[in-house]
Amino acid sequence: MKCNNVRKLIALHREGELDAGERKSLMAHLAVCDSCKRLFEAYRQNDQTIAVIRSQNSCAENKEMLTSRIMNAVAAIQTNTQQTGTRAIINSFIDLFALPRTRYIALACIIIIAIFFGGQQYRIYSRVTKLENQLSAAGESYIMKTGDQEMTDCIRLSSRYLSRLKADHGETEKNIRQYFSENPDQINMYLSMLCNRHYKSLRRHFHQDKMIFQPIITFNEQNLP
Amino acid sequence: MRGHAIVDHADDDHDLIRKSIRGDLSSFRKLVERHQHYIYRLAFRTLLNKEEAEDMVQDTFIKVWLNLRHFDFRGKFTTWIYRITVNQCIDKLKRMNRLADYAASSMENNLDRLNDQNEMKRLEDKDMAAFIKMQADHLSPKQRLVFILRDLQDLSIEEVCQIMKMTKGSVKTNLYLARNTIRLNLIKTGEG
Repeated sequence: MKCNNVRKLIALHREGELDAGERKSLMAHLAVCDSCKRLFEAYRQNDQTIAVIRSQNSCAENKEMLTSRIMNAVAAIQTNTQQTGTRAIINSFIDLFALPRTRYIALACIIIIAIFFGGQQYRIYSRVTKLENQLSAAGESYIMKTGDQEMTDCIRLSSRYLSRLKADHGETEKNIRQYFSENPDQINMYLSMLCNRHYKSLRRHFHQDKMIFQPIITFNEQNLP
Repeated sequence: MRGHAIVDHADDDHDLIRKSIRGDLSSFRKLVERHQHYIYRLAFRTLLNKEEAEDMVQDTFIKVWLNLRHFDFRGKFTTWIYRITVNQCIDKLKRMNRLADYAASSMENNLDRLNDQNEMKRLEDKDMAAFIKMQADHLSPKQRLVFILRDLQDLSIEEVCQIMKMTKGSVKTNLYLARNTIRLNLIKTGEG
């Protein structure tokens, strides 16, 4: 090891500053290099100087007075920041979370709620996706059999409508599932009912899209049960 | 356990902090009494001025009081309070924005004050005074604080890393530079 590399090790020779390998290399080098050994001794002398300074227990002239000064300042802050009414209640509630136990309980609750709602959302999403696929497959099969152009438009519209309702799928999914399970072979009837049931929503969402909307109204009127 | 720098009251401290968070001033007073001398020593060794060190101790404990609810109970209170003090010291040194001038003028005053207060009796020879002066004159704030925390406050390298928010390598480099500068200056002083 070169002397240049050893200098840093010499400066950091105090306990806990070098690992075993570094210490061993340093000692091996010092055994053969006089100039580094002199440097090492110089640092040891500095350590003694530093130790004397470290040992002098400089402390505040009047510890009691300093403590009182600090406590007076803190008490003044406390008085100034003391709130009453709703704000005090809110703050005391927030302070609860400064305690680790409360903090962990709150964190656990948040995780449980997140898992519960996340799971529910995922379950609903996957069911709606499945229904959409089933609907699409059934509709395509119907069109292939009949070549019904109005039906094509209706499916297109229903598909868009379903997409829009993903955020509100509770009721929609229930309706779809119910009608779909009751009338598995009556996809055209299902679509008709769906469009009719949500007529107002459809008009609100698609009032600009008359090209699509008009044939469906006609289709619905012809096919209403 | 390392030297005399920090007596480990961790569990007890945590109880006092919990009570202080609920507004119990007597518990906070115990915290102040228990830790103020470490903080004072660090502040004094950094700022080299008794009045400023006392102000620093007061400001630190006010900051502690205001931020008790943010204390992480997984850590040691001493590390946290040292961190606050170090930040305050760095801010103070930066505010001066002319560290060399400040150090020089402050040292002159401080050495006079030390004489007045018989502090020099404890500094057994001239090297001690020179040592304090060179510390103020030639080290960057980071080197100075790393040196004070490790060599004068006698904290472990790991504690210095936590307080200074530096890596082990960075702490060692700053420590090396500080010790080397001090050694060279001690030689210079000796020759002078």
